[in-house]
Amino acid sequence: MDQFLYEAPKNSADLVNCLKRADENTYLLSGGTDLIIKLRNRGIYSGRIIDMSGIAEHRYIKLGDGYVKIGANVTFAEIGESEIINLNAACLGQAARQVGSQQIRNAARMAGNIANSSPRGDSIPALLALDAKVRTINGKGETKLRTIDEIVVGISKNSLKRDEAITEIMIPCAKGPRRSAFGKYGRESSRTSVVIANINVAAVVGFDTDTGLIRDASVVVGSAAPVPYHAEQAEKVLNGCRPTKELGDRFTAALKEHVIQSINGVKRYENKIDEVAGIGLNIYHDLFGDMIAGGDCIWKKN
Amino acid sequence: MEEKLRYVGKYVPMHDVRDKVTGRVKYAGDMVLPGMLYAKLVLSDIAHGYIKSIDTSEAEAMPGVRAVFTYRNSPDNLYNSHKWIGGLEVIKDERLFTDKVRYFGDRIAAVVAVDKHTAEKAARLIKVEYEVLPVIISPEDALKNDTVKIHESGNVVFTKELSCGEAEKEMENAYLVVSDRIETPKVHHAAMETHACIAETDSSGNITVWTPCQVIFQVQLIISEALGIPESKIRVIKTTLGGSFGGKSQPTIEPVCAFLSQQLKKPVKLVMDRTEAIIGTRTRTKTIGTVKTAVDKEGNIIARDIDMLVDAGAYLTNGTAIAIAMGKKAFKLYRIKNQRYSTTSVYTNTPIGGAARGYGSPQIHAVTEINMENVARELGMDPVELRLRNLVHPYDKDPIGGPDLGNARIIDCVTRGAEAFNWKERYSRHKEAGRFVRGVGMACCAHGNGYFGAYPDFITMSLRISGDGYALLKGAVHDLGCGTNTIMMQIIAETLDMDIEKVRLAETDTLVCPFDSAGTQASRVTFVCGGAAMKAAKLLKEKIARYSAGIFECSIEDVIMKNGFIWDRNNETVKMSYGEAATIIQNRYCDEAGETVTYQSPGNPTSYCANFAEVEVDTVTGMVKVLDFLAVHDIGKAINPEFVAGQIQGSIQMGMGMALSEEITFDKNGKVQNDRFGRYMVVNAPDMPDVKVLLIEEGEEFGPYGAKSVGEIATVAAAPAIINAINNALDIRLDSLPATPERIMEKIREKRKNNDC
Repeated sequence: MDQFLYEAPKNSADLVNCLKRADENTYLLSGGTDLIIKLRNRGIYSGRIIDMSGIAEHRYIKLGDGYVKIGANVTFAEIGESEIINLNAACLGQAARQVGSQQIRNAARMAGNIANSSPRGDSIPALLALDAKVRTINGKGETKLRTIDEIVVGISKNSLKRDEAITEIMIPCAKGPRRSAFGKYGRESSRTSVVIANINVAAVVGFDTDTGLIRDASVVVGSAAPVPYHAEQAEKVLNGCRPTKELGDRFTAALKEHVIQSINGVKRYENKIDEVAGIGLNIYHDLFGDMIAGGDCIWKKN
Repeated sequence: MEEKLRYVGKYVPMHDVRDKVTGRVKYAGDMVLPGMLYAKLVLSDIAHGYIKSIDTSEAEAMPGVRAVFTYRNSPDNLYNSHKWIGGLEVIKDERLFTDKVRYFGDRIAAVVAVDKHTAEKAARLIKVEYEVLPVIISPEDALKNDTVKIHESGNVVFTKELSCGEAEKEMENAYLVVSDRIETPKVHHAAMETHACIAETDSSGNITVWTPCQVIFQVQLIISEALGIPESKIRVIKTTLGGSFGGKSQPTIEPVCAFLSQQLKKPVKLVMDRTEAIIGTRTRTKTIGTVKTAVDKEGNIIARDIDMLVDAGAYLTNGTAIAIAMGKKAFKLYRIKNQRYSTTSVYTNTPIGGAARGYGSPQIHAVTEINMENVARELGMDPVELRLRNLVHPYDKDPIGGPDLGNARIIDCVTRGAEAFNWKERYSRHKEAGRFVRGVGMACCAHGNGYFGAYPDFITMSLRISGDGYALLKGAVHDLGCGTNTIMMQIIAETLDMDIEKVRLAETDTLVCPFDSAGTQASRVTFVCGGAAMKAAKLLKEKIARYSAGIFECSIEDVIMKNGFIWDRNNETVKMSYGEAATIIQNRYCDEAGETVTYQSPGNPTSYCANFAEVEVDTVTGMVKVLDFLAVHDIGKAINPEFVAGQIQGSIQMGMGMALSEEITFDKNGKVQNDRFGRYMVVNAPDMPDVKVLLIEEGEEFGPYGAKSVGEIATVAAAPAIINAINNALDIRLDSLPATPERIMEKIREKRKNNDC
């Protein structure tokens, strides 16, 4: 009779031991919200499951060494509610609160979302925009630090080795004033929650403390291409400018242009163009709404 | 009512609510019988083609697999799952396992194994080779294309016309004629519980079937026809239902499950997953409606011409019945002297259409009510005024000879609703120029109360008082989760004047319950079955009173029956409980304190409803938010107002889905694109407006305590009301449901383009 071998390491050392014996039939379970469905859909009835949800030492959100550090065993619900996240990486908090349903957010871990590498994943654009680093550990106990785009390499394809597990996600803290925002729309309907992204965008901007001009804009578009990418034109539009209403229109137009190029004329993806325009306006309002009055920007130095 | 009512008109909690919310209730999927085997269906992954070869050897060889069945080793008896009563003429075109695949999801095989996983795994090993045929997805293509035949008889199955007056002639000289062509979608019922069934066979070949169903006698009949065995050898027991909405009305997996058990002489369980339920059961029938309405200057409807093209899907099922049902509704809402309704039903290579809450009413009313609002717009008239000018009045006759409309209170619904919704002010409000634009819309609708006037409509019920003072009802009412049993309990407790805690219903079972002609469908249960329960209770009360007069040695006029006790008006010190009376009746008179009645429905009045909606549309994305919603119902009398409100709120959720997001879609090969809830978008709680409910309770002559139907009609007007609100917000004319952001943006662009010209 088919059966799964189930292992539940309790700490990092246990995990390394489990990883040592990882082979092509080994599955790493983080929250299980993607994995269980995949096993079912693919008719996989046997193998080895390493359930990492019992590793207490990977369950933290903290500040240290100039980073926001998030342990791999933290749920989206915890990220969405975290004060540290919402103060230092607002767009990630917003993304976390829009993943699936509350039930999914209570179980799903961001580390799993990264490893799953779905082009529609919500945390990935936010992490990429924030220039996050991912720490992994392998069966020999070696750790490694990589960027998001080094890990997420294709449609549901990551670059992790069979014996590698994500242990921590690190987001660099801001050097100066910084704001960020995330937005998404679901697939072809007016539904606003429990939706899989049809398009999602994360934007992070810094400000020059003396002039109030936008700098270091980092804008990432997800669900429009096999992997999320930096919308360089939209970043260029923002950098060195003052947030006015007119700039918002240019920013949105730039996002649209990116998506038009990404979908490359495929008719069934055309709805992404209007959606990204809507998200563009939403996140622009999130980022700069309080600074714009009567079409002009008011920079308050705090 | 002169007397004060104790239970009717009050909230009584659903009889099994405690078990449901604490997870104790057992659904069919939870049941386990000793030695039970598990079945898994193999559904086709192409939409049209002959099975050239089917290799089951690898699956059969798998340890734990007991058998694999296909068309080669199963009966080829044809049946039509829509047939609910013997004698009903139907076209039979479905069989247990097909040799020709007609839609993506057609049944080709079943694997039976010792456990679920083995069955699932083995099902993946079955290899099918097809001779692929061209597919027909659109019903309009089915009309034109006769070279690709889905069934031998051709793709057009049925045409029919209903009419009064001379619509065509009157149309010619009318002041204004407004035409619309509107498509309604193929929709999944989305009950929480997917289809499930267990069948067990005894050594004599008698089969017992447990199923969450709407019509036990229909399940019995269809199994009998599919398997070619007598109905009496089949016992069907209804299980606790986790939602149906028509989706479990026509038997789907029951004949299959019964056959598997019959062959293996073992209990067999068959449970569908969500994908199977979406593609492989029944759907709300897709329609394409064209309507022309002619009015005079004042907005009086002079004539109307409606044509409905019905997409029956791959097997006819109720493709004819629903086409007629839709037509009948068109004559019951407005006073239209000259009207023609024509309809054509066609086969397509798509999932089977079937019963779905409203049974065609949501489709026909979507077409006609969107058109009505367009008429109002072209006339420059408030749509409420246009409707009030034309709506039917109480006790109007049906112009095509159908049952009388009864106490038809739609005018009250519209006037009181418009007032409560503050319609006038909201409708005349200036439109915003920004990104988000608001609009209001309304719609009216009509729906029936059972089958009277069309099909046999009667139920036999047996009610008795036991020695311990309980009232026990045997009657084939199927509680689908809407509180049907509680409604019966309220009617019985009220009529017998006793404690409702002491009223019990047997679970619906063909071996236990007397015959019922039509099942829990057609909005007949409260009106017809409730009427039967009331009649049984009345007769029983009279019978007990007669015997009590003998026991107390008083005249029957002096017998008082109240709150479970009986006494002689002239001697209040001696009281006997209903249970004591039952015992004495049994012992002294050799009779039971019971009555069995066969109740023929006395009529089929029309229920009415008006919906009012306010929406906000994002003109950048085309996304719609329903801000406010009011449902006004001509319900006669609400037996349980909380249940009524629950029915209405759930109905609006379904109607919103039909208006905004729900549609089964296909690729060019007929493969279903949204075969799971991640892709098939039902409206969920955060997007629901606070649905306000207003009940018009003016009493219906033939209904128990004046009640008439609400469960189906409640979902009928929602979609057109919302579409009308979007049209009002953007000054566009949507013509295809659901109004997805994409379709709305297309209309916005069209309008911008026209304005630029």
